[in-house]
This record gives sequence, structure tokens and C-alpha cells, in this order.
Amino acid sequence: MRLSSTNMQARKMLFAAILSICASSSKKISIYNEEMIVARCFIGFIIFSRKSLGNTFKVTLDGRIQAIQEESQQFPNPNEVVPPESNEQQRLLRISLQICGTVVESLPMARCAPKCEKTVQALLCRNLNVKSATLPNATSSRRIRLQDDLVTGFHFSVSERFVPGSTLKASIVELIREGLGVLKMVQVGE
Amino acid sequence: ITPNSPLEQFAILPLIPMKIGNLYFSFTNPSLFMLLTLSLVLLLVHFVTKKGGGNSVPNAWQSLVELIYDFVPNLVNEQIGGLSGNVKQKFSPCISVTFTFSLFRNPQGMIPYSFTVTSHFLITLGLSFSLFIGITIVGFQKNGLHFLSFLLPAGVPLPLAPFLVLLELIPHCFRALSSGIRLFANMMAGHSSVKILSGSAWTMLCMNDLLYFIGDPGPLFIVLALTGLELGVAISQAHVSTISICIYLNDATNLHQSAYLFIIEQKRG
Repeated sequence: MRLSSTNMQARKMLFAAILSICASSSKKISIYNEEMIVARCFIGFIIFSRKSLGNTFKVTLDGRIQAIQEESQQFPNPNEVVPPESNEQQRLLRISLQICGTVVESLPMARCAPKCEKTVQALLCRNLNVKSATLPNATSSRRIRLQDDLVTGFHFSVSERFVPGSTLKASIVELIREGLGVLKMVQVGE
Repeated sequence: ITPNSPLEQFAILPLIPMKIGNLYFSFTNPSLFMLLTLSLVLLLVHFVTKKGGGNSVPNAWQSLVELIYDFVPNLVNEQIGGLSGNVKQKFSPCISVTFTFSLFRNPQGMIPYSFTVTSHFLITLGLSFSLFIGITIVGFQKNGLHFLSFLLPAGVPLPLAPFLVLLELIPHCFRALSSGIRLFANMMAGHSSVKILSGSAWTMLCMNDLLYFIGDPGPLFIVLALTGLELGVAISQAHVSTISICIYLNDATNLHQSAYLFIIEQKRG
């Protein structure tokens, strides 16, 4: 059945080719010189290569498509793997880090030496990182309370110390001490 | 029947003559075919990347375009060693354009009744010469005057140095010519031979002699085989010219140093 259908197709194509040759030669479209042999050979080569190599090409391309499909199914959707609460936790930690950063940045530049600001910022960040490393074990409410304590403690200590007229060095040392004190408090409170 | 010369297919005909003083800016048939191929390639890329970038699981055409596109960064990574990641890919667009230029224009000449653009010495020489000048500029930019140390390989005794520098300079400058000649000679030879053989097959057909008619399938079969060979040569010549340009770039930027040493340095550092 299949052989007859391909035979029918081949016969139809041959018929169409003969008809087109007759029509174009009568209308003087086709030029009868050696270029026609080149054209016929080209068409013949394409048909021949399609028959012999068409399958190989198709199989190679299909294999590539299959490999890509399997690869995309292997990797899980990154949004589904992370549980929602650790997402929340990461978000809160990030917010607290940002707040501390902005608090330190908003200090008037003229009042503190540049090293002071960097030391304070580095200390804050380091301690926050240490805290965030131990935080995953805490429950969410205690976590939020802890972070609130941290943020408000630093905020108040920093804003209180850097009022106009205060001496510089003492306030820096006090600031750092207060920061550590807040952290110890928080640690004890846990 | 007046036989046409087989070299007539290479004639450049001005289709729209434009002349300013002594300079001709006419729109010729190479220009027409270059424009046609360019628009075909752009259409293909456009249809493949429609709707914002195609499917993530590609169909056949998208696979083809992806394979062609993927080929160039791999080549650049392989050949031009010793540079950091983003510096390497700096050359990628230029090499990609060169590769696509020859990959699509060489087989375009195989279509019957069309004109092979790259079978003209002027076009291939223009391409290779401008690329060579660009590579030399890149070499001087990256290495300064130290670029000239490339002309003296390592471990050469001093009395021999002047001769060797001259001897190295000549092949280096000849690279510009050789890339152009390679592409031009392959394309022109292929097309001329196809035309000559098909001309003889046609003449045999037209002679009203039984013997010639029986012997005609011989040249016909050879023309068929030659067509296949020509297509293969077209694609492989595109590949070879792109690889050779990468090698020249490697020589210009790394100055005879082996890429292997750079890989070791990178692993250590």
C-alpha cells in the first residue's frame, strides 16, 4: 500500500516535470544550453541525497530535540524546591542587612572619620552574618523579634551617639560597645 | 550551435550603471546575488526567532540556526587561548559574520542559473585583506611593538636572525593573499569544471549520432557527482577559511605561545 503511494507520488512528480518542460520550452522561458544539464543534475542530486541521507538527518535532529527535552525535564523548577518559610526568612534577613547599611550610610560624613564608618559597617555586617548563620534554627516569631531588636538597637545607638556637639572618639567606642551589648542581649534572650 | 565559453558564467554585468566621474558605483549582478542571499538568511533567522525567541524545544529550522550560531563561540574558545572569558568573545561577531558569509554564499552558487559571488578574486581578496589588516591592528594594539617579536621564533641563533625575520615576514604577509586565493580558486575551479563537463555532455547530446547518445550518461554521471563534491567543497571552504582566521588571530594575540601553557597557568592561578 505504502509502496504504491510513493510510486503514485513519483509518477505525479514526473508528469508535472514533463509538463513544465513542455510549457516552458513552448513559451521560450527555458534556455536550451548546457546550463539545463547542470540544473537537471542539481535537482537529481537533491532528490538522491534526500532519499539516501534524509533519514539520517531527521534522526540526528530528532535526537538533539529529545536530548534538550530530557535535559529541561531533569532540572526541577527552582521556585518549587525552596519552602516558603525559608524564603520569608531570607527576605527578612536581607531587609535587616539593608536597614543597617542605610543607617550607617546616613551618618553625617563630616562628623565621623571614614575609617570609623567602615569599621562600624564591617562590624555590623559581620555580626549580622554570624547571626543569620545561626538563625535558621529559630522559630519565626522569635526570629522577627530578634531582628527587630537588632535593627532598633543599632538604630537608636547610632542616632543617639551622633548628635551635634558630641565628642568623636568616645561616641565611636560607645557605639561599638552598645552594638555588641545589643547582640549579647539578643544572644542571651535566645 | 555556438558553444559558449565556460568562463562566461563569471562575467560581471552592471545591472544599474551608476557613474561618478571616473568611479563606477554600478549595481552589478554580484551585488544582486549578495543582497538576495542576505535577505534569505535574515528571513530565516527572523522566522526562527519569531514570538520572542522561538521555542525552548527547537524544531528543525531552529536547530539548524542554533547549530550554526553555536559553532563560532566554540571555535573562538578553542583556537584563541590564553585570554579571559569575556575578552575571547570579543572576536565572536566578526568571525560569525565571516563564517555565515561564506557558508551561505558558497552553496548559493550551486543553484542553477545563479552567480557565485565568492568565485571572484576581488570579493574574496577584499574580505581576506581587510580581515588581515584588522588582525594586524589587533596584534599591535594588544602587544605594542612587541608584536614584531612574533617574526622571530624562539631558540634561533643570533647570526641567523635577520634572514629569519625576513623569511617569516613574507609568509605572514602572504596570509592575506592566501586566504582569498584559497576560497576563490576552489569555487572557480569547481564551477568551471562543472560547466565544461556539462558543456561536453550537451554537445554529445546534440550530435545526431547514436554512439554519442549511448556514451552520454558518462559525463552526466560525472556532473552529478561533481555537483555533490561542489556542495561539500562549498561548506568545507567556509569552515576552513573561518578556522584559518581564528588561527591568525591566535598568532597575532598570543605570539607563538602555546595555548597549553596558558591553560596550565590558569589552573595554577
